[in-house]
Amino acid sequence: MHLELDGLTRSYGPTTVVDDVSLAIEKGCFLALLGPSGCGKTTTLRMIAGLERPDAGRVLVGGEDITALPPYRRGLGVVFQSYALFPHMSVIGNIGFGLEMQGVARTERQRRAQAALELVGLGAHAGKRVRQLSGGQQQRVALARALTIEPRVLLLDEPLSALDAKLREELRAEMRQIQRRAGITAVFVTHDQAEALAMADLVAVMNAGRIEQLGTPETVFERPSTAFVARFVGRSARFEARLQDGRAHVAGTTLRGDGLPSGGRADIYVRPHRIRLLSRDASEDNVLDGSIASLDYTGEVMQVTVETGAGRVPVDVGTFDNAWRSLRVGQNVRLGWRAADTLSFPL
Amino acid sequence: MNGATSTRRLSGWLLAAPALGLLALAFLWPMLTLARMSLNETSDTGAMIEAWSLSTYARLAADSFNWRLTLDSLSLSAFAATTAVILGYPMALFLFRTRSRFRTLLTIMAVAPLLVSGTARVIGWLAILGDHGLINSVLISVGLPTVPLINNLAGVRIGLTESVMPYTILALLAGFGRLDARLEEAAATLGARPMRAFWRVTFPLTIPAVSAGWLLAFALSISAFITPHLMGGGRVFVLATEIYDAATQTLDWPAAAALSIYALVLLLILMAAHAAVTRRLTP
Amino acid sequence: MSTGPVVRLMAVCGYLVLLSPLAVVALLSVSSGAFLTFPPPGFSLRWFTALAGNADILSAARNSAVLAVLVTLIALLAGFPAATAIARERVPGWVVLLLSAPLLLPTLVIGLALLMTLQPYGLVATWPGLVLAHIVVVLPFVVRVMVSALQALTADMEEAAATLGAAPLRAFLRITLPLAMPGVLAAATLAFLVSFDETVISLFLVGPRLTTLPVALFHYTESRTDPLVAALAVSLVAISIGVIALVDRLVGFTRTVGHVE
Repeated sequence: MHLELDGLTRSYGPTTVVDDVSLAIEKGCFLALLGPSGCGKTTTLRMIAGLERPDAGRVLVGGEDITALPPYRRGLGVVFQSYALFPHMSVIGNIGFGLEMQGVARTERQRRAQAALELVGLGAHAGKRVRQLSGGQQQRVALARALTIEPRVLLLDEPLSALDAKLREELRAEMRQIQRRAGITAVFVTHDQAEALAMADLVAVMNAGRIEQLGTPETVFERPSTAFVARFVGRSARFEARLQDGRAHVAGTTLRGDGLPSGGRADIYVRPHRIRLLSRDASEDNVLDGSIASLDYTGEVMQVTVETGAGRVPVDVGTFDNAWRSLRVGQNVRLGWRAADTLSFPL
Repeated sequence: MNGATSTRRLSGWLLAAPALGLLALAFLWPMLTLARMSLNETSDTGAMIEAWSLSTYARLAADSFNWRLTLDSLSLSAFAATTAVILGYPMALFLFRTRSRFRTLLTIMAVAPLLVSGTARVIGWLAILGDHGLINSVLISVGLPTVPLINNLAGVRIGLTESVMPYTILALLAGFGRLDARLEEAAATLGARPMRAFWRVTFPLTIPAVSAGWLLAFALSISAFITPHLMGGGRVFVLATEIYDAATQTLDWPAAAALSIYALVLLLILMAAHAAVTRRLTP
Repeated sequence: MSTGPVVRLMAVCGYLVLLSPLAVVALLSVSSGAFLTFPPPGFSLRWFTALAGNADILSAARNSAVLAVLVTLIALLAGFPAATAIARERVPGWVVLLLSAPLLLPTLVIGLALLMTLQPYGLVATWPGLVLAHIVVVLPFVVRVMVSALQALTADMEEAAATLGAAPLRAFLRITLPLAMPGVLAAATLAFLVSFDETVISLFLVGPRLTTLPVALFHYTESRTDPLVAALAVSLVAISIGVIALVDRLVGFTRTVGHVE
């Protein structure tokens, strides 16, 4: 395992911000730390970088315990949320700074910094001052600066949050490409779940200092292991149900799921894209009747909200055929989904 | 709390030590000396007697002159603060809203008087308000009698008001900066004409800034020395001038010290009262 | 929203009140008359010439300048490390409040307290006494300006430098110091001006052998006989403006203020 976190814990006064966080990832893996603000993801990243000292726990890179090392001896590259570019140095000066600290000779430094600049597509801007660059360009410079020192691990603290949507998407793809080509292990902090799902090999969903689930984007999205993950990642239909004999009872209907407990109460979640509108004679494991409360066209998908006896259910109807065009508000519909798609979390 | 945090704290205190040391030497120790001095007594011949008593305070409290003094200081300061706010508000409003290209220049001009020492401004006022000054020269030339505007309360009022105006303007500008311009626009879309929009929407929102500016002007006026001393001609008595006279003329140090402590306590009470009133009135 | 005519009129009145004494002083300084009459009988530079020839005033000016430089240096040396500690939160928050405390008190009271403290030690009308007196009001300004400059700029830049391999001392020399320089200059300029113009505290601590320019001006105004005081006042203001202009030329205040933001 290339990067290991072993029981990292950090408190500020009475609040435990990071609570016994452990994980291990391989070289070249792109890990996203995903969670709402205050969940401890940034603090965890900073502890890996050495900018914060953990109260307990260890950080290991390539098998080496670096927990006691100060940040300037860890050899990790960090891209800050605010970029933290040095305003009194030129772009090339910024990028070459890490090499300067390593004692690399000037000509070699310039060469390598220029190469890094070319890598992020800003070769022509070497002599400029930081404030002359746009937000997206500054972001790229920050990335180039971190990569130039050939770090063992690349740490990114919400690097795209200051940019507008279009730019974010572009840079997302670029960053991923650069990381893959360099084969560098990366940890990426974000609160944007779409970003995490799109970019990461592994996603760690964090909440209140703990990792709720560590898995691939698909696993986290389709098979959330806790109610928090189900709520935070993606949208869901939610019902409160009473369990009996392996079935869930919700407002007069019985729902089936795989491996439901035999008793107690539970939160039932279903992903909107797993629900379909049934024609009159179609059957399914789970069926609900309802009427359309609202229709929201979002381009790729028609988000249909259906009012049922069990509550409001969001359903995603694809726009690749024409079925969505005939839907009307107030129309009576039947919803269906497979038992395997019923997610259940104990209350 | 681990080892790393405590070394950080230690290094922090070491860094701050020289500054704190200077502060202790030049400020804390003198203030303690002042308080200690106020507990000494003065003999009938004017000599200082070492003591640990409150008799100086008692002596000062028994003299009705000092109560008059307090009242006069308070009323003078209230006048200066109020007038400064009234004169300063339109200026601050103008500076805040104007789109003129001289905006920066005008703002600097409004605040520039702070660069000029209080004494210099007094000289200017003496030349304007004096018996042979600008105003009286104009009055004489049109055959009107002269008006005594220096060496009296009127002069001190004018001088003091002007000296605190830059501060009120700064405080008001800071408060205006927090206003949302769109609120007046919203009022306009709801049918309010500019004057009404101003009085019903903008002005009430500036009241905290007005209050802060007033308090600042008031506190500065109560502590003011140069203007009352130079423009009062020895006839205007405020706390500051009394303290100065006791310290340097009658050389009654215990009294000077006791009056100083009294003035500080007064300031504290006034700030607390202001804070309480502001909290009551803020929505 | 533009300003209405009523507001503009009242603003003009305000400006008149605010700026008339300054304008009058400026005009008086070039008066040819021998009294503080306004309007002046004529114009001449006789009072500036008189200033240049007045040994007492020149020595007071020299004292003020030297004092201001000394006080600025000491305040910077003590204030910069303290500001670093405060900005990086290595000391509790109340430290900056404590260091700002002298600004809350009337200078009259501070001056009196210093007089009472230094007199038994024979330090009144001495350089150490005056330096100490000026430090009291200069240090808080210096600390506050530098704290805001340091806070605005270098927090995560120092961290970035560390992640790029810069040990603390190198990070300080290459990143913190250069970026803090505009703030340091702003603080130094402010310190110089505050000390140079300081009147009331100095009033208590000067003597016949050692006096400052603002105090000399004060005493001259007390006897107020001639426009020499106006020429002196104008000179004081001119020096202040000169210092600001000089620093602006060297550094650029708009850049400094921009940086501090």
